[in-house]
Amino acid sequence: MSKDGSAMIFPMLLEEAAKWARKNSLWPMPFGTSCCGIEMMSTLSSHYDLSRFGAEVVRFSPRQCDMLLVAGTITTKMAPVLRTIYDQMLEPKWVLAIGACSSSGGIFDTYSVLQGIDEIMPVDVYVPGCPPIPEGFLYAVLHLQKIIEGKIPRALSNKPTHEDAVNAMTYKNCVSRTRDQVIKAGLTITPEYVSTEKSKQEGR
Amino acid sequence: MKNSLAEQIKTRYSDGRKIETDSLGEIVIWAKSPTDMVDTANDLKNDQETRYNYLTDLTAYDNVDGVDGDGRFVLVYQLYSLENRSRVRLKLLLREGDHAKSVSIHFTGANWLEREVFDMYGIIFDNHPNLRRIMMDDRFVGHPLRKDYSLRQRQPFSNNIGLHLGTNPLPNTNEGRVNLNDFYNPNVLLNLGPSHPAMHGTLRVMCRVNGETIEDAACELGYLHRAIEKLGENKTYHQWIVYTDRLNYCSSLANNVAYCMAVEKMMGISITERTMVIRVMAMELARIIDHIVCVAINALDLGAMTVFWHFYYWREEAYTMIESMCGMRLTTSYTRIGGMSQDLPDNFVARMKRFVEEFPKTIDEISNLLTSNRIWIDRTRDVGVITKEEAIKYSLMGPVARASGVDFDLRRDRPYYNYSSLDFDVAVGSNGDVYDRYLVRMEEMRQSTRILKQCVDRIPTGPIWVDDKRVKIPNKQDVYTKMEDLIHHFKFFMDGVDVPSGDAYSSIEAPNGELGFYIVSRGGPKAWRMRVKSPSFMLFQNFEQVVKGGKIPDAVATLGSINIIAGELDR
Ligand code: SF4
Repeated sequence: MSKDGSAMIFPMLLEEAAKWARKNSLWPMPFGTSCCGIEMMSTLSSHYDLSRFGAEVVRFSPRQCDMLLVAGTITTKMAPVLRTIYDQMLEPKWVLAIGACSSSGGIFDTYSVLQGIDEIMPVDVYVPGCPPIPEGFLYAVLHLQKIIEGKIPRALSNKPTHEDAVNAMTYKNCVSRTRDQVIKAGLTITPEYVSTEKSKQEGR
Repeated sequence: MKNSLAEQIKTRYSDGRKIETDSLGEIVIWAKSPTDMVDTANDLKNDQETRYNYLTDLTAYDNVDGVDGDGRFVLVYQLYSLENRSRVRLKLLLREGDHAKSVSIHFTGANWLEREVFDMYGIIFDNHPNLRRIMMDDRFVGHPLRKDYSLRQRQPFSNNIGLHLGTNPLPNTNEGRVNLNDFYNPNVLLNLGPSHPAMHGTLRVMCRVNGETIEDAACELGYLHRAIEKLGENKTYHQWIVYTDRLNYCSSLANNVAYCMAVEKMMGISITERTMVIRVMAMELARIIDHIVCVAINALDLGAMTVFWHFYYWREEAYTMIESMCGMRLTTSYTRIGGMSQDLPDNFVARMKRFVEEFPKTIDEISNLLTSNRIWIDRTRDVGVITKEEAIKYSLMGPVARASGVDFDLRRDRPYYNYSSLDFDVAVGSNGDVYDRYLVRMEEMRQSTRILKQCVDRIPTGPIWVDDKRVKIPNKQDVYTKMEDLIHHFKFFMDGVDVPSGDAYSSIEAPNGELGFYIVSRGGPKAWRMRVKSPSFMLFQNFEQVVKGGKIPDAVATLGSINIIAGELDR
């Protein structure tokens, strides 16, 4: 509206307008579990100030958010919780995997850590780093804005449905070897293994 | 004094028990049987001379190779005497299938520690009040820290653990059912976390509330169990330094130092003067950052936003300084065994001088904002009170214990590096409530600044690396130009450092309390057992008790004030 009362109309498709609005008002749902969560806090606070890009309204209720920030190691025990939160968020929603751990398990290739959240949910932007520097985080948000705008196509890589996620979270797909096979492959140390090794060494 | 105590123990406890000294000269007593183990521990606690009244740690390790005798597991207690300032270690050999006896009647803090041993090794403790798994899911099969459990054997489950109250059953009501909509029902179950803004990401507390009063509480942990201890057995000593960063990620520098100190002690290396001072400064800087995070978040949880923004400016300053020291802000990996990864940058002294000049002003400002603030006092006074006796019973340490009046600071009591030549006071509170903890933390920041001030004025010049072929990483320049150094460098990183066999426990006063590393080595480049004794674990155990009888908002205030860091809690 101008001062004299006349209205101005921006010729713009409604779709474009929606994109524009969405990209500049991303409400993040922070899911910071560990070290990366601390860096996320730095990014949100005054020095780096994520609010410059319209993403400062941190909401802890998934139903009010549209950008899920997964920052930190996700263990297999935590995976169902994370998936529930993802399912509770309303469309349209975007997911940022922040840090090596949430992208791929990072340095924790162990019995209790999920090897990347993309096993249980689709991810739009992966941010490398352990932890990523706040600038990297900001870059990821800007990148996501371009995706929302449509300048960069949204990665269709794999979109695990709820069923896929459940499969990934259960025993079926994950355990590739039985206990006996593991022992046979020499991946573990058992009393028998130790004694045979010992006798081998003594025989030498 | 120390020797005579050792002599006394030797004469008193030698009937049928083997008594040794470990590589650091500390006494190790091998108990005869599970009952004997518990009785000896109790004896050592009650004896007027020894007074080992503080259970530092309780853990176990796998003895599948039979080096320590005939038995599958070795159970280990670390006892500490607050008066004599000395340690003793109790050990017990257990065959596969043997039951141990719970020591939680004498040391209440043993409860969770024993649960952890049960979870990780499958050792069953008789008479334990609540022997359930603690880190892993209840449905988990196997015991991950046994040597025959493979590192990568994952067992995911498709749903979260349901609401439960540990072993506290619901009291009988008329219907015996819980109606969540009925506010006046004294049996409403309330779940806090793991994804809850006040629960720091991964903690989960389940309570039974009556109105707004918490009557029962049970904690569920393990949502960030990353198997760091198991990784310690699978990585070389050098590779594992990076994992220490991820324990308490608010003060990674202190963890780095604590770990390298433990390995150096085992190898009998004493580091150079310059490295010593750099490490002390690193630890104190870490303490400041950790306390900033704790106080700021605690205030933020209670609605005092300004403190958060104001303090975080200095946190960023400190991070910038750390970044210039080692190239990373958070995951520093600054130390190496026998030295540091890098020397101090040129502008460090000037920066640090500015920091120690101006940071105390901010502390004073924050003090003005909070210390006499009506709302802050109302929210924190007499909230989450931990008495002195309780603090000792639950083996609490660090600022939390000091706020309860336990005068215990390893920097002063068992000085390491050059702390004995530094001038600082130990802040001790009296009430043990949230307010006192806040005051203790503020005072500790002032004292840390004081230490930094003393250090920055007298950083000795000289090398940062010890001159020891076993641990010194060859200079990069030499590696490119000299054949011998190239071979050495290659061998060094392919084979790792060789730590002599034996075991040792070494600890420092980390920002949160006593952070210890108990390393069992069988020789070679990898540890046989890498135990992290983390302060948060004991603090969180006590939290379950402290919140009972309080209101839900009080629980939030208490949790913020004891500063639980999930990475260190779950490891
Ligand atoms: S990626 Fe690195 S910093 Fe981030 S959570 Fe994992 S270990 Fe921590």
